[in-house]
Amino acid sequence: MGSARSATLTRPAPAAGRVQTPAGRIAARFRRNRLAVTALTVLAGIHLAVILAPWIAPGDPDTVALVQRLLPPGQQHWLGTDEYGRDVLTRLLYGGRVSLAVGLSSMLASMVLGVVVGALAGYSGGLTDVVLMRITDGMLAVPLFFVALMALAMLGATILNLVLVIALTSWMTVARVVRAEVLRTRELEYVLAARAIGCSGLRILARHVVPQSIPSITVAATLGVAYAVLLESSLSFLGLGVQPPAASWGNMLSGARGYLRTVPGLAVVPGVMIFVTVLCYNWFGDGLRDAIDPTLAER
Amino acid sequence: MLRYLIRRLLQTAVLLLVVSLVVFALVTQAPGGPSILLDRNMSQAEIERMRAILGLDQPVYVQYVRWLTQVLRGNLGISYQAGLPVLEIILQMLPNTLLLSAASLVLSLVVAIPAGVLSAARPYTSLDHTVTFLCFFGISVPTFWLGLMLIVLFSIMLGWLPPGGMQTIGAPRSILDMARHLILPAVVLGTANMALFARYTRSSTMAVLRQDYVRTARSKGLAERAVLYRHALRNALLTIVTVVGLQLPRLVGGAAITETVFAWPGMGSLAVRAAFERDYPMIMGITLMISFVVAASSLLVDLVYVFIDPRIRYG
Repeated sequence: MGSARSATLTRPAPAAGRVQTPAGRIAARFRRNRLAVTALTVLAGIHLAVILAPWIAPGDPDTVALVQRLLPPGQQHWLGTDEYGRDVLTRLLYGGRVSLAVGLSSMLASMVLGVVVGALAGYSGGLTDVVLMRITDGMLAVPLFFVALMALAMLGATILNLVLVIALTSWMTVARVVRAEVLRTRELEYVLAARAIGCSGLRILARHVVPQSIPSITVAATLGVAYAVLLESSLSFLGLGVQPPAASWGNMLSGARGYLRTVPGLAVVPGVMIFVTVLCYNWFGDGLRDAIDPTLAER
Repeated sequence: MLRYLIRRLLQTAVLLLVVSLVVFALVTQAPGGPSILLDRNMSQAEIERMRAILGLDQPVYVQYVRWLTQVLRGNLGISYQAGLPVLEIILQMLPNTLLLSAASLVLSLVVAIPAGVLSAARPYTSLDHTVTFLCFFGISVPTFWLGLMLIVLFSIMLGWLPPGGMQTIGAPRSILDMARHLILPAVVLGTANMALFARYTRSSTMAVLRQDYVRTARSKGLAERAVLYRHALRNALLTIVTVVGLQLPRLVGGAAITETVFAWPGMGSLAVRAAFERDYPMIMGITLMISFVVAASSLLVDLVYVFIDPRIRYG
């Protein structure tokens, strides 16, 4: 006991400069990954632009001006106008709000669901574990896109339903990741100690076990946004996502489809936005994973 | 082996039952009925009679049990919209979807495996970096947008390939013609998997290349080609087969989008139409059939393991 105290007393002061916390080390490793940093910067730009849409957009996203339909890019309309004479740049910014909001909120919902299922399965073990994992595996074996399609057609393609459907069809990976982490963590000594002093199961999970998997959850969340944005745009493209006249990147493409021959540019722009956003989220997530666990970098 | 097969078939049956139950509940409990009942020219009495004929006036569980007993007899019901047996329509469309999916799967494997192996053999070279870079593109590009862009480029601007459909209208049926129509959809559907498979091939090959037996093969003087493709790849293939199996459900989802973009007459476009028209028997039939095909293909993939790796025995 005495020696432990003296050890604390004589612990060398941190070398000049900052203390290296685990988060600091991750950040430092992340900063060395040029691609990931670029991706993060681009993402920050895109998010900022769509958040500021009401202030920076040159016009109103829903104002129809049939005299000005299908104008080529020019001084007044930087990216031209669509089939209803609406400014494409404006709709791109407002549509981005919807696409990213749907992407981020469905990711959030699917993370919550995945973490709860995974933590519960991993920590309880036994029958709960078996049942929850059977459900997870079962869902992974079903062509969920078809079910999502049917569900949205039946329940109505509102934004809330869209978020719910995306979340309900994409929580399984997170659940598996969290379960694996919980299985690893739950037998660690500090968890046993927490149990010994009488912490409730819920408290142990929430305070001591789940926080251990935050790095993996963060990575899964980043990649989850990429997946959700892709899914939203696909469903909106099929007419089962965000409903016109509200713009989303997916339904802008759906509208542009009829003008591939005459104004192909109309289909290029929203697609590039989806592509770049998803690409940057994937790069960012990948960089994050490498920074968190350098041993994984090879995969 | 037999016991394994029986267990897998039972699991599949349970899975299909649960999926059909969920979709059935969803379809029948959702607000608003099938769109044929929304005909303005029908009186309320006629609508009620129609509902009775379709059995929609019964409690849900009665409807489900009825549907299920018919399915077990091989009857998927009559499509509300087409007025034809659902099974007949599905059997017309299913081969087209299978053709498209299989073509895209073959294409993605043919491209991905050599790309992944070469990357793994020369890690951290510019070749490897290029492959990784392209993989990220492939994983991130929206399927339908890629389809639209390829249509603009190859059909509208260059005029090399048809923009959609399965054959030239009015022309005699020929394999060559169908193949020309198949190229763009197969490429579009295959892109994401190409990228995914290449990444997994690379990482699993790299793991295998570190093993002792590979060093032995090299030290006994085998050509690098033989080491890579005959010794390393064979073990790396196990991972790839697993990933292929796991991707099957997503493959048919991607097929649905691709079919819509290219007006390819398959299960995907059928499903989208059935969903919009709220054609209950059609929706149920498609869901059941697609889930069944995916489950059967997954089982097939599991059996492929035995051929690749003689060490694997299912007990």
